[in-house]
Amino acid sequence: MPADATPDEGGAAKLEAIEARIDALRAARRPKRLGAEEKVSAAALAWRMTTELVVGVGLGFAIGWWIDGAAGTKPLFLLIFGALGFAAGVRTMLRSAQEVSRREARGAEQTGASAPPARPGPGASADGRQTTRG
Amino acid sequence: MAQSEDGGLHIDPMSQFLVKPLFGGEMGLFTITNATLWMALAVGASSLLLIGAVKQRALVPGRAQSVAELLYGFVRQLVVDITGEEGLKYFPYIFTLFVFILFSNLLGMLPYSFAVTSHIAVTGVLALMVFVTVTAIGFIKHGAHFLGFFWPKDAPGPLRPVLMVIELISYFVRPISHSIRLGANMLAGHAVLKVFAGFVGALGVFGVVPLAAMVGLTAFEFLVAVIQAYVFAILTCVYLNDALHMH
Repeated sequence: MPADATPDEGGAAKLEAIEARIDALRAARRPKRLGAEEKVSAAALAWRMTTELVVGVGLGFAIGWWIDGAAGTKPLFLLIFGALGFAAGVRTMLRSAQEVSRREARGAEQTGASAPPARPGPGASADGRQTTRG
Repeated sequence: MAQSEDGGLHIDPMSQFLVKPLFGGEMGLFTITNATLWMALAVGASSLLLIGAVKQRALVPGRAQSVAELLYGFVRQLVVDITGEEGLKYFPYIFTLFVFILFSNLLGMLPYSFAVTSHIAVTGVLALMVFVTVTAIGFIKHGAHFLGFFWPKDAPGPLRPVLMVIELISYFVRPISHSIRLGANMLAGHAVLKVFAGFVGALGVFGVVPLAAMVGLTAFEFLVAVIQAYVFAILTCVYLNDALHMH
C-alpha cells in the first residue's frame, strides 16, 4: 500500500502497531498447555503407574534371586529385595504422580484460569500438590 | 475369514509375531527378516512424510505438509511443556523416537504386516538408548552431583542407605517399564485381534458378534498405537527433565 506509506509519522505509528501485533502473535504462539489430551493422558498415567509398580516388584525379586544364587542364602535376600523393590515401585509411582501434578501446576500458572476442569484420578493429588506449593 | 474347514477353533494368535528370514536361509545375526523390512518401511514412510512432503516449503501448507508440521509442532510443544526451553536441544532425538514408534505402530495395523514394536527386543533397545543417553546427560551436566539424585538428603540419617537402594532400584525400573509398556500394549492388542478373528471363523453365522467387536477393537488399537508412541515420547521427556534439572 504505497499511499499509506508516504506520511512519516503515520508510517511509524503503523509500524509500531504491526510490531505490537507481531508481539501478540508471538505470545500467542508461545508454548502453552494443550487441554485436549487430558482424558487420554489420565488413562495413560494409570497404565504407567501400574507397570511401574509391577516392574519395581519384579526387579526387586530378580535382584534378590540373583544375590541369593550367588551367596547361597536362598530366601533371605529374595525377601529383602522383594520388599525394597515394592518400595521402589511405589516410589516411582509417586514420582510419576508428582511430576504430572507439577506439570499441571505449571500449566495452570501459564494459562491462568483456563486450567482444565474436572480430571479423574490423579487430579486429586494434583490439587493437593498445588496447595502445598502455593 | 471362513477358515474353519476342520470345524474347530482356528486360533493362533502368536504366530503373527514370528521373526522370519525374508529371503529364506538360516537366521544369523545380520539376516534380513520381516522385522528388518517393517522397520525400514517405518523409516521410509516417516522420511517420505517429513522430508518429501515438506520439500516444497509452501507458505500455505498442503495436506501432507500440514500433517508433517502438526507432528513437529505437537512434539516440540511436548518437549517444551515437560523439559522447558533447555530440553529443546534434545528435541530431534525425541522427535525421531516418537515418529519411528508412531509409524511402526501404525504400519503394524496393516493386515499381513508385522508389528515391530510388539517385540520387547525392539522396545527394549529403544528404552535402553534413552536410559543411557539420559544418564550420560545427567552426568555430563552435573558431574558427580548427579549421584545426589539417589541420595535422599531430607531423610533421617540411618534410613538413608536403605532409601538409596530403593532410589537406585526405582531408577532402573524406568527403562524396564518404559520398554514393557510399549511392547506389551502392542503385543496384547494384536494377539486379542487374532483371537477374535479366530472366533469369527468358528462361530459361523454368529460370527457377526465377534466381527463387530473386532471393528471396535481395531479402532481402539489405532488409538493405542498413537497413545503409546505419545507416552513413550512423554516419558523420554520426563527422564530427560530429571537429568537436566535433577528433581
